Amino acid sequence: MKKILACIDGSGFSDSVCAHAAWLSGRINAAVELLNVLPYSPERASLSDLSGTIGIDASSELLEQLTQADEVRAQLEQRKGRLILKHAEQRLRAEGVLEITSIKRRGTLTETISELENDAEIIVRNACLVPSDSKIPHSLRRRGKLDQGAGICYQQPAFARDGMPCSYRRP
Amino acid sequence: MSFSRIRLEWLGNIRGDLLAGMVVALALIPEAIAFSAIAGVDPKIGLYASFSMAVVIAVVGGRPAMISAATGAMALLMITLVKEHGLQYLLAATVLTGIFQVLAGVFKLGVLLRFVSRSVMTGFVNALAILIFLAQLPEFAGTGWQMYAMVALGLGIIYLFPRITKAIPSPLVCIIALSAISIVAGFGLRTVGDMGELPSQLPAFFFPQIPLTFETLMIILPYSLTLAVVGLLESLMTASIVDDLTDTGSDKNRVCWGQGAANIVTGFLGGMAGCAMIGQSVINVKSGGRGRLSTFFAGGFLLFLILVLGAWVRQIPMAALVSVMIMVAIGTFSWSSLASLRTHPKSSSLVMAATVIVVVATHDLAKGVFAGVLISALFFARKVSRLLSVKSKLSEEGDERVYHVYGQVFFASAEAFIAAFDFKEAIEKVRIDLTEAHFWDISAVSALDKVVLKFRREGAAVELVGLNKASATIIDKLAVHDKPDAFERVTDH
Repeated sequence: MKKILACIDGSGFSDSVCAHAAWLSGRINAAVELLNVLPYSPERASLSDLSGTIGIDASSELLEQLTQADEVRAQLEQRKGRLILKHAEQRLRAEGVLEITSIKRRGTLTETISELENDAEIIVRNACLVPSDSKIPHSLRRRGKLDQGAGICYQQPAFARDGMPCSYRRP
Repeated sequence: MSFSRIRLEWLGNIRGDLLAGMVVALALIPEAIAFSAIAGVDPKIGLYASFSMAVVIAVVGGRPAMISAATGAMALLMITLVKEHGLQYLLAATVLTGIFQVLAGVFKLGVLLRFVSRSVMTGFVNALAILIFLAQLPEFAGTGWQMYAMVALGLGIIYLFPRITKAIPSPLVCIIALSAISIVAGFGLRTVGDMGELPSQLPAFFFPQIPLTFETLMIILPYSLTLAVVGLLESLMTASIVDDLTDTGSDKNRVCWGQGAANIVTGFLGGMAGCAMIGQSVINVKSGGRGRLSTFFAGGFLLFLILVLGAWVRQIPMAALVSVMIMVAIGTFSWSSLASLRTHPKSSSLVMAATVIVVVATHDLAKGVFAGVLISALFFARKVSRLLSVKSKLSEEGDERVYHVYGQVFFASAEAFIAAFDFKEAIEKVRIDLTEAHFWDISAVSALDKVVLKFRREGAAVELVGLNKASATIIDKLAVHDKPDAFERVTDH
């Protein structure tokens, strides 16, 4: 069965993404896969101890500290992701979508989409989800994936019919 | 590498990187001076090395946030070179070391690190810590109680000051406090100024003043090879520690050639060979350093401090540096490995201990690692050689015996393989079923030949079953990638 990949992050845009995905699903008779990408930014330090000392078993102790900090944060993010997906699933079901799967991945949206895009017929995402990934619409367009920059408020998904330039199905 | 990746590696953590770089620079100064003392060169040589290596590795290195500078492991290897041939030969050796390391990176030798077992690595860091500690002992020679008191006070400050605040690096507090005491009380203790020349200007690019002859090459070649190996080992090990700490990956081959490039530049800038530092890299990550900027800033800030505060740095008593170095030794040593000596398998503990002993005896980490790898390989071979069993059954007519060979046949188990057959039994037909066996090398094949010959001499007709399957493992390269079933073929029967 064809698959639509709907990327949601729990922001105000997610509703719109869900609605578009649901509508598309009905039109092309495809399953919807919900994707929630948990943030991953190892380039940013979570702890900072400027004491400049290293004591007994410094590196394993530091590893334990850093792991704990990451663990706590990651668990919270996971819980949040689960709620976001659950909410979106309910919403899709209410719109009449039958086949729904959901996945949580850690990483950047760009990388995650490029990992998953080959399985998907259409990708519905909002360009505003991750501001730093401003390049992604171009890369997706080049690959012929659908990309939509939906507004903040929910609109009837009329974009594919009125031929907005950035919205088309993969040939 | 994409532009956004580069931007992230440099500017993803600016505040943390700058602060951490500062902390690291403050700790690098005493280390660079101390390691210059070990190598027998002016502090300038170590300080220039630490500056240029940190700056270059920040740009080209394979592991963001890893700190490379003048190190004890390398300094210990260059003592005789400096003593017998002088500084210029050291600089040339540094460049050659870098060339070897670049080649190691180009030929992707970084993957060889996987043959260095965990126990050898633990032995390496423990030996390194012991060497750093031992190198501090000469500083106590010919000094009175004042030196011991100062070092004790220094260590007290280093370990207790963080309980008051973690916002100021305690090694810095230690250095300032001990310098103040030393200046005011005037114990007459040795200071950094007594160790030789400090940098007074930016390093300049120059060619080592050596005759470009075959003799020169023969002098520096053995040193450079050892330096290259030790430097790569410590750098790769540090890279994997930083990988673990930051939960990210690194390009191990780039770590190799990046370190090489840093050494080449350093040699031409008048610095001594160096490598990544475990202790400093841990301090960097602990202080919040994650990006390339931290390493870059550590190097730059170090030189800035030395050039601006040179007059003050001269006054720092060696006691302060010794305190910092003892802290580094304590922080580098894997204390938990002592506790696990009892719980870990004896073979692992033996490998660790052997690595440490060889290093401490030879002051050469490369020899220690070589010994450790060798011993662990032997232990592994012995363990696997036990995975062999031969069972036999006499046929109902009583004229044929079928031997079933299960498990691994290779050089370490070939003897046991031969011994498992009963050649005294007078029997007409022998069938050896090798379907469940793996023949790993030529030793295994010749052992089988021997068995067949012996049986023939006893008058038995020998039939081999499944030899092709068993010897599929002999080929050196199992093309698991292109033949999906190759792995099953080798392991599953």
